[in-house]
Amino acid sequence: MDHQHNNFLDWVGHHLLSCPLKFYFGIDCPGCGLQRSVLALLRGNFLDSFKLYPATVPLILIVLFSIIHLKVDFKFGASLIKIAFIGIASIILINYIYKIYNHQLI
Amino acid sequence: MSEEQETPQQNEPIDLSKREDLANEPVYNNPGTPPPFQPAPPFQQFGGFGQPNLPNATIALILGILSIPACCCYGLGLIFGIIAWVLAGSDIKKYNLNPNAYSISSYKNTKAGKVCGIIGTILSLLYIICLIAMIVIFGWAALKDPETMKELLREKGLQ
Repeated sequence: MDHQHNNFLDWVGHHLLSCPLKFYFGIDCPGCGLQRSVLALLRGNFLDSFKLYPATVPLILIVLFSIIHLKVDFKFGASLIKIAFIGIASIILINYIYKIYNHQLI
Repeated sequence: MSEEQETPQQNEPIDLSKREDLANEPVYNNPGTPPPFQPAPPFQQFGGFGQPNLPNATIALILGILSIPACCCYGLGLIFGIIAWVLAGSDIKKYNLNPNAYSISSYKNTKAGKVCGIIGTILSLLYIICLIAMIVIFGWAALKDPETMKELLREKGLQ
């Protein structure tokens, strides 16, 4: 069962949606790495996931939280989502700038 | 209330002690007191039972959140972000026109959706501006061919 599971993940890994920027120009865009990162997370590899795309775990958490918030309606939910979202946006920007400075774009 | 509206200058303090018809009524044109026809219901702070949500609150919030993950898929994030921004903006206007008709929690959700939409839009715009800048700097032909691109970068000392 575990073997099959890994095979499925490998299959998905070979059939990821390709970013147009990466596909045509060979340069990473600010969102590149997200799908690989999610796959690494599904394999249970937190560290790889973080290295590939640091914003994955917060993104998944915020999506889950907002679904729960829409059902349950927390008092502080909306403002928490706002703050978390600003944090995620800055994580993505910092990650991209870091990538540019470390020549990891190509 | 109608008598007060008939006075030409409402901002000037009215000497209420001289008006006998208002002597026994509470003072409503004081800026600190809420208007008499909008008493705050006691349960409004818990989400307002019986008050409908703003029509686009949920959609705006979801689209606003999705605009970041979709930011790099063919400009989808830009579309999501702008839709969330516009929907939330119109809903906020609706709420401001008639604050007691809608629940306050949906208003908060809408505001959050607007902020998320704005952030998603800005990120997507940055991405598109980056793309255009690269085409301008390196030229279309170099971008089409990764090998030429790498050579160009090497010449510029970037890699």
